[in-house]
Amino acid sequence: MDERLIAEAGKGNQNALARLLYENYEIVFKYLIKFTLNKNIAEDMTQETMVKAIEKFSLYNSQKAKFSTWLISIAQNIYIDYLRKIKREKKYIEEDCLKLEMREPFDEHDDSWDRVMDVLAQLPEESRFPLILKHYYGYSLEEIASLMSIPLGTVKSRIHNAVKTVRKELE
Amino acid sequence: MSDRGEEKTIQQIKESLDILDNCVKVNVPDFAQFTQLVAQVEDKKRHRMNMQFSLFLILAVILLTFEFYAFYNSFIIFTTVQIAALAFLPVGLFMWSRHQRKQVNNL
Repeated sequence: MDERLIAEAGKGNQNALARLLYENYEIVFKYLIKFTLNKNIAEDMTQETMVKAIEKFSLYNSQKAKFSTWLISIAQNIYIDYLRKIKREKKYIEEDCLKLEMREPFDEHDDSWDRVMDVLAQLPEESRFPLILKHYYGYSLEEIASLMSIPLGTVKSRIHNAVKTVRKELE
Repeated sequence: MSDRGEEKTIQQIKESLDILDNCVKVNVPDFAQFTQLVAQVEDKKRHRMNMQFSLFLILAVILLTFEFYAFYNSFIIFTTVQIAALAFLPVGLFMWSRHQRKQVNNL
């Protein structure tokens, strides 16, 4: 399905490209919400990812990676840019707003889930990002260091401290 | 003991993120909005390319006019501009391709 759409989109069929993006929207959103833990920010970044994908579609090589993987790599770069921006502007997300947004769509979940999500939400984003990349997506420390353009030691300590904080808060 | 505690924490994080992944409600926009977005971005892209091409043409005409003038008046200026243009060509192409591939071609 994807291959046919990619071929059509490559020929300039705008409907095929729109269909490709429509079908991969959920994957990108779910990837981003794990890092941002904020629905609005994740939606904005997903939208930005879609725009970037349309602009750069001519550079996509289906031999190199799946379309969804390519979109994820764009989303990842957008999130890294966002991390740099909030660091520079020292802009913080209001926690209350974040909690409300997170809890709104969930009906059935136990207390421990709430607690873990709360602790994760309280972690600084520059620690949450490497923690999830390492322990949820299985990235190597070197890959994370290269992605975030920070030294390997910083990655190690951020992940270690993040796990320690989560553990302490959950005890 | 410490390692086991850490593993348990990591497991809890993984499970919580799995729940988030499975339960989060995604508001996927209508397909029509995607079609509209693609058309808009493509339009902007075309407009930007036209602008770049126009700018390129203007610069080329200015340079050629200057070269035409230099060809009859100063051989040194003429040759200097020729060499500069030749040297700039690969550098310009390299910078342009880097700009185009920026942030996306990292797979």
